[in-house]
Order: sequence, then structure tokens, then C-alpha cells
Amino acid sequence: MAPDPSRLDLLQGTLDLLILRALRSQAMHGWAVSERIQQISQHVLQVNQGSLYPALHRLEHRGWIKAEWGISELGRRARFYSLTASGRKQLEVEAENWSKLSDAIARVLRMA
Amino acid sequence: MLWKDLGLRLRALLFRRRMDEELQEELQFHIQMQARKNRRVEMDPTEAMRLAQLQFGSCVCATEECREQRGISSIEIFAKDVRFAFRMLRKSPGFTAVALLTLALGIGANTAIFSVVNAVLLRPLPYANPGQLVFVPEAQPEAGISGLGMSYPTFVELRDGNRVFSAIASLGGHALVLTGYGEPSEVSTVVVTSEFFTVLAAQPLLGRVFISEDSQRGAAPVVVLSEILWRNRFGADPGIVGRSITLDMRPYNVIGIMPASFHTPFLNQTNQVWIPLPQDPLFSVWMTRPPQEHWMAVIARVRPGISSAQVQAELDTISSRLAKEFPAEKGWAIRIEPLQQTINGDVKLPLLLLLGAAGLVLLIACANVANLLLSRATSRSKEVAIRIALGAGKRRIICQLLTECAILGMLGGLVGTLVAYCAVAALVPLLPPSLPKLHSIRVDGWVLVFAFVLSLATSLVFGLAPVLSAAGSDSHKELAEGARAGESAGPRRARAFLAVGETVLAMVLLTVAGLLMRSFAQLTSVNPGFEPNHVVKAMVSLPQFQYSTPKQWAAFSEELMTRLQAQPGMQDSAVAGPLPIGLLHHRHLSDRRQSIAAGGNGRHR
Repeated sequence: MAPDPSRLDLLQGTLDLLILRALRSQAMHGWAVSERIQQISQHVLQVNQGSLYPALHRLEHRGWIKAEWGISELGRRARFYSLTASGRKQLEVEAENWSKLSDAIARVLRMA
Repeated sequence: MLWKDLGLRLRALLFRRRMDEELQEELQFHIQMQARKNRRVEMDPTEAMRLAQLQFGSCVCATEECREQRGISSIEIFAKDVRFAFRMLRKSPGFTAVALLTLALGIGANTAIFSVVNAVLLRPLPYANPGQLVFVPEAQPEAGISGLGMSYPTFVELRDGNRVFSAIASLGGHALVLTGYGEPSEVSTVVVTSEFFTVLAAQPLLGRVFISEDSQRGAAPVVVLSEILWRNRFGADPGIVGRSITLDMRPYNVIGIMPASFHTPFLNQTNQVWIPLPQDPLFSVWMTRPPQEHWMAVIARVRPGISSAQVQAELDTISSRLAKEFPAEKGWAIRIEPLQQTINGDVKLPLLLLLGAAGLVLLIACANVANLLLSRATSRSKEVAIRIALGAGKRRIICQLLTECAILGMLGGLVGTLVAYCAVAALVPLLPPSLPKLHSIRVDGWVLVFAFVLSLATSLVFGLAPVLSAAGSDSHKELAEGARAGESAGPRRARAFLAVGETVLAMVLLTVAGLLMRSFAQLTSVNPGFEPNHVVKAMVSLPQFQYSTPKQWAAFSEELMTRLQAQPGMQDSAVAGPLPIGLLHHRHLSDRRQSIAAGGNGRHR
């Protein structure tokens, strides 16, 4: 597939933040996470599938999300991820950091 | 966090297959969801699936990356290295056998000697609070005399006049003849003062130990038996307590049995009895000897919280008081030394020397194995070079080679421990019985820990040179040179160095061993001043009560001689006490066996 100029690659480290944010309100499986991120960002943010699952496993390993097998809308077994308490805290911290960073960058861009 | 992490890693390792299957299922599910979405934008199902797979990218890569995130790699790699190491060892059985044998001998010798060192030097004495136990000798610094015993008057002065010892007692040993209950036999007799068992905080198995009344003059003779004697001689009859036995034709009332776990310092024997000093036919007459006769070995237990300096100050006061009372005692001082030190005494240095020699043997073994590994590394350098060329990191190669060495070392240690186990069993009967704590020499937990650590350290020592030379080699050059079977300069230098070191160590050992052999040869070839061939000796002990005066001894010997001369095959016979070049005095605790040695100087016709 030819790269679409209207879609942006994710910055290193932001995928974790997006996954945590997507899982804030409800548990969902990996595909739904990627769909949700794309929908909300109005297809600007493209989640690379090859990095989505390693990221999910990494977050699980760190104890920020937990996984359970459930039944999906297809009627098949799927792995549903949900936020843990420490994941919720981590989301706050990372969201805070992110808004500080983007504010700062926006300010620099305006002034320069 | 650490525990949770470890738990996850362990789970990943143990349920690897299941987790992999789950991961595959998860990824497949994603692709199917994508295909369903694609179908919604009017695509034929096969095309939709193909596109979904394309969109997903490499499934293998994602799987690999997910595995990486689970963090199983390090354990898995280690397990792989171990398997690989075993395979390499199996592949060259000759090398493995030689290396294992060399290591097993080295580690085995060290472990065996260490089990002796551990039992004799390191393990504390088998008494309660052994740190409080001291040996109390007398010394005359001006005359350069130290480590002598004390007289009974001095002992009494010390026992009644000190405030630093919670208990103090003397001990001495000889043999008495036990009659009744089977064949007459000699039993090792320990003559003690009443607080002896209190000093050592020992409890009897049955009955009681001595109290001060037992040591009063005119008290009924009493005896405490060792458990072994009680079992062998009296059939473990508990009714023996309260009955009397006959020692040197004199009845002694049995008051207690000491457990086999109790060992008399300096004088440990299995068939043993303990009797109070005033009731001993031999030593009791010495109690009236003047203070300048130093014959009693004294041990004491220091009160808790009192320093050795305080003890020494108190002893100095008592010494000066004694010097005033008995002018002959002037210049003599009472000293203390830790009982452990006294007991270990002369064996410490030889044992450490032996351990050092065993250490040298192990170093030689290491050098040998390192040499073997180096020569094998030459033939393996191509394999290493190919692996580096294929992208293996230096660290991985080093880790893998070290794992191989560690496996070799641990196997060597395992066989070595077996060697040590057999060696200890064979060694203990050969050791001199005077060696303290001989009974407690065995391969125990500490010895096993020692063997384990030694094996690991050994693998590091013999593995270092080969591993470094393998890691330091240049892969391009190796591959280019691979066709030629030559050896590059690095390993060759290392091997030369090892060979030289090995030879040096072996020379040191040979020289020391040679010197020892020479001393021994000289000792045995000393001209004793008599013709020792065709001479036999026999030892006779006479009960004190029947034969207490020199006159009686002479009468007995004359009778003995007459009867011996009448024997055919005997050329000449004589009586001596003691025999020439006999073991005379072992420090102050000589075996003062009042015996007549009949030296049958009989040449066979």
C-alpha cells in the first residue's frame, strides 16, 4: 500500500498513552483498540498492527493493563484488555506529560 | 514488582507452548476482524482476507516481538546453552572423560582435606558456649617454660580463690583393669575433679554426674560410664546405675552414664570411665605433692561477660599470693588460652599445609583442563567465527562458552564430591587418633557448600583463558584462515604460559613431597643403638592395688621372665619401663599408664 500523506506515524512512546486512553472507559480486544484510536483521531493516527500487540503485552507485563479471555462480537474467543488501578494512574501521568509537551511545542512554533 | 516480574517470566517459561498458542489465536482473531471490515466495503472474502493479512504485516515478527516483551529470552537462552553444553560434552567423550577425571581428583582432594579442616579447625567444640572454655596452664616465662600443668595445692588455691570462673576442673588419664562382667580388660580412665562435667555443661544419659561430696576423702568410690562401654560391656542394662563394678580389684558404685555424644577433651576414647581424683589409685597419692610439681591439666569455664584481660589480672593476683605462700612457686604464672586452641594445638599448621598442597593440585588440574580447552578451542574457532558472522554477539558467545565451562566444573565437582566421600571414609582410620575431634570428620552441609563454590570458582579459573581467547579472535581472519589448521598466536601464547605455570606448580609440590619423604626416610633409618630385628614386645598392666610397690613389680617381672625364658623359640627377654623410642609424654597429659613393658628380646633360632 502506498503511504497516505494524510496519515501520521505515531511518535515513539505515544502508542502506550493512546492504548491506555482507549481502554479507560471499557475493556476491549486488540482490534477494537486499534479501530478506536483510528476512529477518534479521524483516521489521522495509524496504529501499526505489528507494534500494537507487542505494546499490549508490554503494558500487561508492567501491570498497567490486564487481559482476560471473553467472547467477542463474532462469537469467538478473544482477549479483552482492561485498565488496572496502576494503569489508571499511569494514564494520568502520561496524559499530563503529553499535554505539557504539546503545549510547549505549540508555543515554540507560534513564537518562532 | 520483582516477584511479580519473576512470576510472569516463570509462567512464560513453563507454559510457553500454551502462551504461544494463545498469542497466535489473538493475532488470527485480529486478522479476521480486519477481513470482516474489509468485506463490508464490498470486497470478495478471499481478497478481504488477503488484504487483512497484508495490512497486518509479518505475523512472525509480531509474535517474536510479543515474546520479547514477555521477557522469557534470558532464561530460555540459558536453558539452550545448558543443553548445547551437554551436547558438546557428549560429542567428545575422550576430552570430557579426561577433563572430568582431572577436575574430580582436584576438587575431591580439596573437599576431603576441607572436611578434616572443617571438623577439626572450623567447627566449634561440641560443648555449650564453647567460647567460654579455657585451658589453664602454668608457665615460667623466665625459664621459657609454658603450657605446663599445675599442682593440687595450686589448683585448690585457684578453685577457691577466683571470681572469674564459673567452674574449674582438672583431668588426667590412664588405664584401669575392669574385671567381672566378662573378660578382664583395660578401660580408659579419666580422673577428674568434681566440677569436670559442670565446666563442660554436660548432662548424663542416665543417673547423675559427680558432685563435690564424691571428691571428699573417705567418700564411697563412684564411677561414671561411657555409653559405648555401657552398651558393649553391660548390655545397656539401665539397672547398672546403683550397682558396683570392679576397677583394679576395687569396687566402684556406678552413678551415671554419659551419652556417646559427649567427648572428653584431649582424652577421647569410646570405652571410657570417669572417676573422681581422690578415688584414683594412681593420681590420688600425687595430691599431696608440693606446688612445684606441675602434673594436673586444668580446664575452666569463664563467667559470662568477663574479658580475658580481667581473667588474667585475677590469675596474676592469685599467682603472686601463691608465690608468697610457697616460695618455690616464684616466677610461675597462671595463664589461660582458649580450649579450642589448646586442643587444635599442633595440628593446625600441618592441616593448613595439607590444604595448601591440595589447592596446588587443584591449580594444576585447572591448568590442565584450560590447556585441553584451549587446544579444543583451536578446532572450534571456525565454529565460533561462523556464529559471529551470522550475527551472534560477543556476549552471547562468551556466555555460552562460560556455561560450557560451568557445566564441566559442576560435573567435576559432583564426581569430586563422591571421591571426597570415599576419601574421607578411607582417611579417618588412617589419621592419628590424637587428632582432635576425629569422630566428627565427615562430608556435611558446609563441606558440600565448599565443594559447590570450589567447582564454580574452578570453572571460572580454567575457563577464563579459553573463553577470552575465543572472544578475542577476529572472525574475518578466522574464516579466511579456516582452511588452514594453524593456531593463531594468542592461544599459543596462552598455552605456553599455562604449561610453564603448571610445571612450576608441579615442581613446588614435588620438591615439598620429596623433602617430606626424605625426612621420613631419615627418621626410619636412624640407628636406634640396638638391633631391632626379630624383637617382639608386649605390654602388661598390673592392677594398682595388687602391685603398688616397686618390690611387687620386681617380683612380678622376675616371675614373668622365668616363665618366658622357659618358652621355646625365645632367645632372651627383658623388662623395661618405658620401652626405648616409645611414645613418652604427650604434652602434660601423658598416658601415665603404670605398666611394665616386657620387651621380649627373643631371636628365633
